[in-house]
Amino acid sequence: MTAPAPNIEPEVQAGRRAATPVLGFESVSKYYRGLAALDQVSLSLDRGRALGLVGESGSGKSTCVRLALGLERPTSGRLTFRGADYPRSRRRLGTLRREVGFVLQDPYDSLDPRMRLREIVSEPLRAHRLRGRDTDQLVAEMLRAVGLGDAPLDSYPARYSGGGRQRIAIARALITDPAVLICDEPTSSLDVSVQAQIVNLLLDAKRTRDLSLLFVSHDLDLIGRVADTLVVMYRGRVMESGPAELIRSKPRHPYTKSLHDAVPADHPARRKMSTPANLPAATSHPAAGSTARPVVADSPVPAESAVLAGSAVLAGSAVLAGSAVLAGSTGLAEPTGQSGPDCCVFVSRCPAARARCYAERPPTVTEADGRSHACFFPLAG
Amino acid sequence: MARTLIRRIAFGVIAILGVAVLAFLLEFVVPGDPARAIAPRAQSAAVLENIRIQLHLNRPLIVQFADYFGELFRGNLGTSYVQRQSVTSLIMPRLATTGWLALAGVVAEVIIGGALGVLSTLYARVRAVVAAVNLTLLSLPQFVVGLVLLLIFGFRLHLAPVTGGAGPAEIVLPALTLGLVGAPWYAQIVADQMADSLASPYVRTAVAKGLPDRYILWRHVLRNVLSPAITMIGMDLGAYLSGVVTVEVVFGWPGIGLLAVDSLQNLDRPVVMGTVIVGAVAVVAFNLIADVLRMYVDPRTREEPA
Amino acid sequence: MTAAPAMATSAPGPGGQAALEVDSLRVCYAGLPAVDDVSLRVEPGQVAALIGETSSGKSSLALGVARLLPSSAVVTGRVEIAGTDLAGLPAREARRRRASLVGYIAQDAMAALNPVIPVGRQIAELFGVHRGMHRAEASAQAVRELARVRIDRPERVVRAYPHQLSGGMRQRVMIAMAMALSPPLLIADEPTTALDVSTQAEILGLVGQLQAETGSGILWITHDMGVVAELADVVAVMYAGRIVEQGPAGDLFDHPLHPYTQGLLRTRRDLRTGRPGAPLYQIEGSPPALSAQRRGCAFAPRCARRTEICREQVPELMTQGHNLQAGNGPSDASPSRPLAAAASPAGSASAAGQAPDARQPGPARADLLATGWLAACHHPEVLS
Repeated sequence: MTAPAPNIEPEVQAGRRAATPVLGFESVSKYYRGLAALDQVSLSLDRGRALGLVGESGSGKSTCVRLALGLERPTSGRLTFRGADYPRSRRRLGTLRREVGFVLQDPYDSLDPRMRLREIVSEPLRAHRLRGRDTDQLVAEMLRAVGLGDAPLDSYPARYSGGGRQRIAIARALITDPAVLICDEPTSSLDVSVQAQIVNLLLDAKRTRDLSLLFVSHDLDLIGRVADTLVVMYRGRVMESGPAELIRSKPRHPYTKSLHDAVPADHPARRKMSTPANLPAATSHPAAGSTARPVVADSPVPAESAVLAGSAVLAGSAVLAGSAVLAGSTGLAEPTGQSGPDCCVFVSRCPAARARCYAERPPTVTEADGRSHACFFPLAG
Repeated sequence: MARTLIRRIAFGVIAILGVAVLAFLLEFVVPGDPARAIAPRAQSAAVLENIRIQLHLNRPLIVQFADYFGELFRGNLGTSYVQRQSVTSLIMPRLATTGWLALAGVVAEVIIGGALGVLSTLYARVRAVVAAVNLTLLSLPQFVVGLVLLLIFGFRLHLAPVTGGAGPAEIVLPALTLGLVGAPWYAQIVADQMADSLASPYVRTAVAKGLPDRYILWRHVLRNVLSPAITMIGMDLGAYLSGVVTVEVVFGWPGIGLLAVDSLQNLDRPVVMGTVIVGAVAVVAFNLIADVLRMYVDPRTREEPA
Repeated sequence: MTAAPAMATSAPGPGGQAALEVDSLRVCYAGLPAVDDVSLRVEPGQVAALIGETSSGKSSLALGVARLLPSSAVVTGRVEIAGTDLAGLPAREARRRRASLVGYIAQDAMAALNPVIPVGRQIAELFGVHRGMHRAEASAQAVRELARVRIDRPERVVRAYPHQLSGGMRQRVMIAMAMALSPPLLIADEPTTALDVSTQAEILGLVGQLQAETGSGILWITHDMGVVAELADVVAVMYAGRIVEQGPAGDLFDHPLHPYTQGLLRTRRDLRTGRPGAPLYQIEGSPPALSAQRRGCAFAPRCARRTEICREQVPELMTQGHNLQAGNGPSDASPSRPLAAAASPAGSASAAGQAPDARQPGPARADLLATGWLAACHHPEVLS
C-alpha cells in the first residue's frame, strides 16, 4: 500500500533516517485540578515500530494520546518528537501535526456528517497547504489502499458502516504521509468480525510506509498481536513496559498478571471466573466468610486497607469532574489519582501487597532485556 | 457545592454593579435637563442654576459618580428630585406590589404552560391543538392580551374591576395576562423534557420493574422535568420583579414598573437608578435561588465540571 | 406452528416448565424484520448465551421477549416465561406481573438508572409496589439486595446517586434490581460490554455464583465469545435476525458447523495465539444492515463455502445431532435431517393437513432435542 508522498522537504526526510525515537515521553506528568491523570510517565516509540499502550479506564492512556497530539501540554516532563521538544508555537505545532496522524475510537463521531468523502480525506492536505492539482487522485489512491476503492468521492459518511468509517478515518490520517500514527482504541467500537480487517490495514500501513504506530487499547490480546513493545498503565502510572512477547508471557507486575487473568476463557472447559472455586477474593461478601486478602505479615498493616478490594475502576468522566467516586465493590470513596502519594497506586487491589507498598512509591527498575517494571515484589518468571 | 455558590454570588454582585454603572452613564446621554423638569415654569436661568447646584448637577461627572456610588455602598439610594422623599421609601412599597403580581403571574404561567405541555405529551390528539395555541400566545404582545382581557372581562362582562388598585380582585387579570403570554415557554420545556424522559432507558427500566404508569410519571419523570423548569421560573421571577411595565401600565397596577416609567418621564434620576438597581438585584437573587433549588432537585448539578 | 427446538444440555433440566420458551418470534420495525422466525428455550438453572453482532437482532430479541419494545415495533410469535404468556394478558396485569417473571439487565447502567434518585430507592420501590412493603421495610430489603450482589457497605451505597458509583457498581445495582423479585428468567443485554476487563471478570464471577444460588434461567446476550465460554451452558449464534447455529457450549466450541461461528472462534483463537505482527485472521465483508428482502443465506456474501444454492435458498435450522450420538465425528453428517417431517413446507402442509406454513416435528424429535445441536447452513461441516 504505497501512495506518492506529497512534497516532503529534504530535512524532514533526513530526520526520518535518524535513530532517535520518533516519539518520546520523559517523566511526563499531567494534572487536572490537583489530580494526577499522568504521573511521571516515560515511554519511547522507535521508528517503524509499534508501541502498545495498555490500560483500563482511568489509566491515563487517553491523556497520553491528547498530549501526543499536541492538544494539551504536560504539567511537567518533556515531550519529544524526533528528539526535539514539542513546539509551543501554534505554527510549528501545525508542522508537527502533519507528521502525526490519528485514528480515534468512535467511528460515528469522528467524521463530519456534512462533508463528502473527498473533503474528509483531503482535509489534512488543505490544512497543511499541501494541496495540489493531483489531490483528487491522491484521495482516490488512498481510498483504494484502505479497501474503499469503489467508494464514490461524493458520498457522505452516513452510508458507511463502522468498519467503513474507520477506513475513511485511516485514509484521512495517512494522506499527509505522516511518520507516526496514533490509534486510540480504533477497533473497540467495531463488530468483532470487522476488527481484524482494520487491524490488518494498520499493520499493512506500518509495514509498507515505514510508519510508527502508537496503539492504545484495553485489549491485551489484540495489543499483543500488534505491538512490538508494551507499556502497561494503571491510574496514570506505568506499571510495566518492555518487549510485548516477554511481558505477555512472563509478566513481572501483578497488575499485568491480573489483566491477563481477567481475560475470559477460550473454551467452556477451561473456565476461570464463574466457578466458585476460582472466584477471586475481590468480591468481599460478609456472608462468605473471611475474604481478606492474605497480607504478608512482615510489618503491621492498617486493618482497613487489608480489606480494601474490588474494582477500583472509576467512571471515565469522574477523572475530569473531580467528584469522589465510590470504588468497585468496596463502596468506599476513592479519588482518581492522587497528587504524588507515597505508595504504589495498585496497592488497594494487589494480591501481593505488603507493608512497603503502602509506604513508598516503587521506582522503575530496568532489566537487561530492555524491560522495566515498577514494583517492589515483582513476579518471578 | 459551596464553592460553586460562592462563585455565583460573586459574579452576581459584579453583574449588579455593572448594570448600575451602565445605567448611571446612560443617564448622562439622555437629553433633558432635570432642573427644568423639576421647575418647568421657572423663568430665570438663575433659578434653574440654583436647582442644579442644589442637586450637585453642576459638578464634574466623576464627582457625581463617586458621590452616588459612595452613597450606594452605604445603602442610601438618594432622594427623589420630584417627590422630596427618599428613593428607598418610594420603591419599597411598590416593590412589594409588583412582587405579588410577579408571583401570581408565574403561578399562572406554570399552571397553564405545564398543563398544556403535559397534555400534549400524553395525548397525541391534543398535540396539534396545543401547538396552535402556543403559537398564538407567543405572537401576541403583552399589552394586546391585557387590553383584550380588560375589554372582555372588565368592560363588557363587568367581572373584574377596571380602575387601578392592588387588591386580590385587581390581580386576576394582570396575572392572567402574564400567565397567558408566558405559558408557551413552559409548555415547550415541559413537553420536551417529558418526551425525553419517557423515551429514556431509565423509564424503560421502570416499566420493566412493573411500576404503575402514574407512579412512573410522578416519581421518575417529574423530577427530571423540574430541573429546567426551575431555571426558567427563577429567570421569570427576577425579570418580573424588575418591573413588568406593559402590564402595569395597561392595568394601572401601582408597581415598580409604573414607577420607573413615571420617573423616566420626569427625569427623576435617583428614582430611575433606584429601580434599575433593585431590578438587577432581584434578577440576580432569584436566579441564585433557582440554582440552589435545582441543585437540590438534580444532584448532578451540585458540582461544577472542571 | 413450528415446534420450538430446545437448547438442551447434556444434563437436561427438570421436567416441567421451561424458564423461557420462544416460538417463531418475529420483530419488525417499519416492515423490516430485525428478528426473523426465532425459536428457543431456556431451562431453569440454565445459562443460554445469545451471541451476535450489530444488526443480528439480539437486542430486539431480548426486548421483544421482555415485552419492552415501543409500540411501533410489530411483534409476532409466542413467548412464554415460566408458562405465562405476557402478551395474552391484559396490559395492566402484564405490567404488574412482568417484574416477577423476568428481570431485565440493560447494557448501559448509567442510562438505565434514574439519575436524580438514589439507587437504594430505585430498588426499594420494587418492594413497595409489588410486595406492599412500607418505606423502612423496603429500604432495609434494598440493603439486603445490594449485599447479595456482593457490594461492600451496602448501607452507604444505598444512598448514592448513580453518577457517584463506578461502572461495575452500577451494573451490580442493575443486577440486584433485576433479581429482587426472584424471577424465573433473567435477561442480560450485554451488561459487561461497556466495562473494563477486570470489572467484567468480577461481574461474570458474580453472575456465576448468583445463578448457582437462585436457579433462575438466564438469557445472556453478548458479542464476546469469551463471555460465552465463561458462562454458557448452551449457545445460540444469531446473524441477520436468525439463529444460524445453536447447541451445547462445549460442542459448539469444539466442532462448530456454521462458517460464521467458525469464523468467530477462529478470529478469537488467532488473536490469542497468533504470531505477533502477523496479519490477523479476518472474516471478509461486514454484517448486513436491516433490509426487507433477502434472498438466500444472509451470510453468503462473506462465506468461503458459498454456492448457487446459498444465494437462492435461506437455509433452515436443522439438526446434525443424530450422527454425534453414534459417536462418529460430525464430519460425516449428511446435510441434515430437517426438524420437519417433510423437506419442503408444501409437503409438510399436506402431510399435516394444516395451514401452509405450519410444520410438524419429525418422528425422532426426542433424540434431536436431547442433543439439541442445530445449524442453518447448506454446507455445514467441521473444519479440521
